[in-house]
Amino acid sequence: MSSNGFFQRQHLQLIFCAYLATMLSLASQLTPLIFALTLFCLGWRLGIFLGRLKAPSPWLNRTVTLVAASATLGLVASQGLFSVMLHLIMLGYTLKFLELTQKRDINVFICTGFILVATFFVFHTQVYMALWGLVLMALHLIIALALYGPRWQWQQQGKILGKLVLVSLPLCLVLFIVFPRLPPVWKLPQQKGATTGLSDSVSLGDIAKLSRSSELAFRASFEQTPPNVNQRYWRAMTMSHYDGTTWSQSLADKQQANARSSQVTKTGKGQSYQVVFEPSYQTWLPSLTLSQADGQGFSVFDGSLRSEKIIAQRRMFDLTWYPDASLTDVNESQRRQYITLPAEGNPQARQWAAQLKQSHQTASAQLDAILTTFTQAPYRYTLSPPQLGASQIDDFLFNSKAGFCVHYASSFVFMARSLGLPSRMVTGYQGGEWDENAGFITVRQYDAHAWAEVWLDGKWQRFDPTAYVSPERVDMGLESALPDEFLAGEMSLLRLRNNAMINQLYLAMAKFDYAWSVWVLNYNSDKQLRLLSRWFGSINFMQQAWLFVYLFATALALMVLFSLKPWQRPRLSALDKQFYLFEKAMGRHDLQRQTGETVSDFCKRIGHSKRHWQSTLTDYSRVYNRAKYGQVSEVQYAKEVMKLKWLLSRLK
Amino acid sequence: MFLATSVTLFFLGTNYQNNLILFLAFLLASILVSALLVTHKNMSGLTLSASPAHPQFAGELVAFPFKISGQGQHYEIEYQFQQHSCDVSSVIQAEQGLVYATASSRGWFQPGRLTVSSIYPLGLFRVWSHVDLDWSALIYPAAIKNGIALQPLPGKQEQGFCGTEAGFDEFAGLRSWQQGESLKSVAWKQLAQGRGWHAKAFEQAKGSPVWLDLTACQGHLEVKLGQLCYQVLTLTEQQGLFGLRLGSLEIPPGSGLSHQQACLEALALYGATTTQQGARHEQ
Repeated sequence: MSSNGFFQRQHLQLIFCAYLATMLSLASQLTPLIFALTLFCLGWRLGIFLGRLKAPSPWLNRTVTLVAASATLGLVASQGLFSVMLHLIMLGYTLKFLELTQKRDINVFICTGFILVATFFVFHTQVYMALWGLVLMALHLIIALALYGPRWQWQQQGKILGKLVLVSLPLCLVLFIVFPRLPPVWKLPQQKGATTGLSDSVSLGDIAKLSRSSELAFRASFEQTPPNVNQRYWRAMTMSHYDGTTWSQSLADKQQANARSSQVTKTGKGQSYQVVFEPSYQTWLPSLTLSQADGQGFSVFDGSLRSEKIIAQRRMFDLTWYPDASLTDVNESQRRQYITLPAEGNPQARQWAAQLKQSHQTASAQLDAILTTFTQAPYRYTLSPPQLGASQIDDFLFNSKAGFCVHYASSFVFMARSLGLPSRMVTGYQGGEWDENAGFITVRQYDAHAWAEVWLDGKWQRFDPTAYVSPERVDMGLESALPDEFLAGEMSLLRLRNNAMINQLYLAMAKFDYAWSVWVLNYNSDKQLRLLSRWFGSINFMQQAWLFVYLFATALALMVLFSLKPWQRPRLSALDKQFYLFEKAMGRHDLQRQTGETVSDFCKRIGHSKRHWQSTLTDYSRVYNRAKYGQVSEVQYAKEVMKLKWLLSRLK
Repeated sequence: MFLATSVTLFFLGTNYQNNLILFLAFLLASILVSALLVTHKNMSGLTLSASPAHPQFAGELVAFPFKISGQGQHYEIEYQFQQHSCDVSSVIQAEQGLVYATASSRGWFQPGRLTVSSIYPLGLFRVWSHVDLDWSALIYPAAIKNGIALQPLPGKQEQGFCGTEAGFDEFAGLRSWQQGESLKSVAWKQLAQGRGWHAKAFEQAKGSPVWLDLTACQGHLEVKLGQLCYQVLTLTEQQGLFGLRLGSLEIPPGSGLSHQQACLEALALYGATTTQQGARHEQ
């Protein structure tokens, strides 16, 4: 069918499969133009294969390449360098279709495929995605196998590939575990993704969206007991600027955050814990109040943690939690920022503050009065509150009286500032589900929360007005607080967890997934050194290098041994074995068969010197020849071999 | 290219601090190593034994048959002569193979060492061996068309020696049957034995014998031999009776395929030393 002898239908089928699988796996990252190009190339290729179309001339090929490349680049240039890189590789991969004329082209296609599988891993790191990536890789390898190995035999090809991978696995594992992890050699463009989770500003209504998502936010593992439920406030950031509708970080805050100075006074013993963050494409590290990070994270002025780099893949951080620590320092300019409110708006709330100031003496008493108000009806907690008017705080406090955490926290900070108390909005997560068996807390997006901090008695203190409206939200989570509204309209595995078996399965999967994140995805040089020290005693870097060489050599030797199997002798048939014993027995009488001497001749020759054996030997050669050269059934064959054994016993 | 990809993946994995990409890089590197072993193993234990080759005319392809045996499976092994290679690729079927070489001149042709190679399984490595199977094939001179008169030449003619021509009197042997020939001439017995369609060739005495003589031809020695070769072929086809005189060597007149073979052999080896002839004469 095809003009090239080497290129057969099976190759094209395999290439189609590998191509489609790879492209669909990366589909979410690609611009629709690529799909159009794919259809074009697939169609043309099929046309060539069926003999309807001619292969494009090099000139046409170059034109198509140029046009496609410039069009694609124009479309994705705004999406960052990584996207451009990915699209260029994908473009080459797609256009290679049109010029598969030599074996070399197919090799290029296969290798490009491997690179694309790698970019797939940049975006997807879950266990099942890793397995799928391996399948993609196998699809590409099988093309090579079909090209250079047995053709058309799917089973054979699969078997050979399986064996090949199996033999390679020990070496691969040694490399993975022992090969020194290097720091990044040069900076590569980072992939961009839609940020998920909390954003750097919050307005009334924002967090409600998150509350509808059961997506994983992060998981934290504790070696000892986890913090109590009411202590599980995972602080992400604080916001000091309010413009009447939205809370955000002030410019001064941002500058201070870059300065990386923190004013945490550590007291008491710290408790270490590990957090595995899901990719959020942001730098916040929601952490227990107050925590410190070692390594890739750092603390900023307000005590929250930031990552050095954007969290673009599942990353683990080692953190230490100081439950008794407090933030103690606030300077004059910060103090001014923390009591600033818009000049106008929400007159009713300001009036209420003035009343409170008169009726209550101390600041804490004034704040308590506000919280007590929230406990009384008709204030209620709901994820779908009515729309608010222009004066949001007034409308909420005195009119609708229905809202969720952001409404309450926002109003509380507004009131505190109206009272002249430095205060700020805090966003993060609250709660999380503790799995006793696995030893970690799972925090999902619906655990997102907002609360307030007020500077009181020389330190920042946490106030969570939501806890007064809906104590269940803080103590037992959103699901118990709002059973009707929880994950309404979302298909989620979580809703099936009432079934005990599904729950068991779910927990086991979660545990495995966590171990995968900690030990595979975040296996770094620290862990490597720790693991190797546990196995081989404490070692330094040089020793690690030597260890690597030794283990590598061992794995290599094992591979060589198992694939060449030097211990495997050519297998002898039962008949040959019998004859071997016969020769050995004769050898004891100094009778050796000469090269080229037939069994009959040999037996005759022995018969001349050992006359009493003559008849037995004649039988022997006759039976032997019949079994060896005659057409005998298997049963007969076995009988003949037994007969030979018996005859041999008479020759002793 | 595979190695380069593996290294590229390693750098990608390192720079993105992505263990899955690193795993991919290590897996590729390991597969590279095991492919090396598999490539070697694929050819080890392979035994080739040569079978005699049929004589052929100079300038044409000579097919050298051989038997393949070994333990286990051997995939995609290529056979090619180191020197006299030609574009016609070898034919491998189950345990038998044919490898072709082009012979340029008459005489005993030795194709030299056979290169046995394989790039199985992934085309990453090539394992090869140059095997000397001690093959040789007799190469007849290339036939050169000419118009030497086919007349009975004056010479010693023996009485009672009769020529034959195709006829119906005497069974002369078998030749391949062609469509359109009489069904009466089909060798049914051989057909029943599964040896294909043959026709029984019969001969009939034909005029007086013809002598082909080297001295009667003109030109260079090889040209003369080529012309004689043509005559031998033509006369045999016409079932003519002919003899051959090559200097001191004289083949008495005869006809039929065995006579033709004797004549062609004499032509092929004309001028070659007798010792070599003896040593190589295997067929």
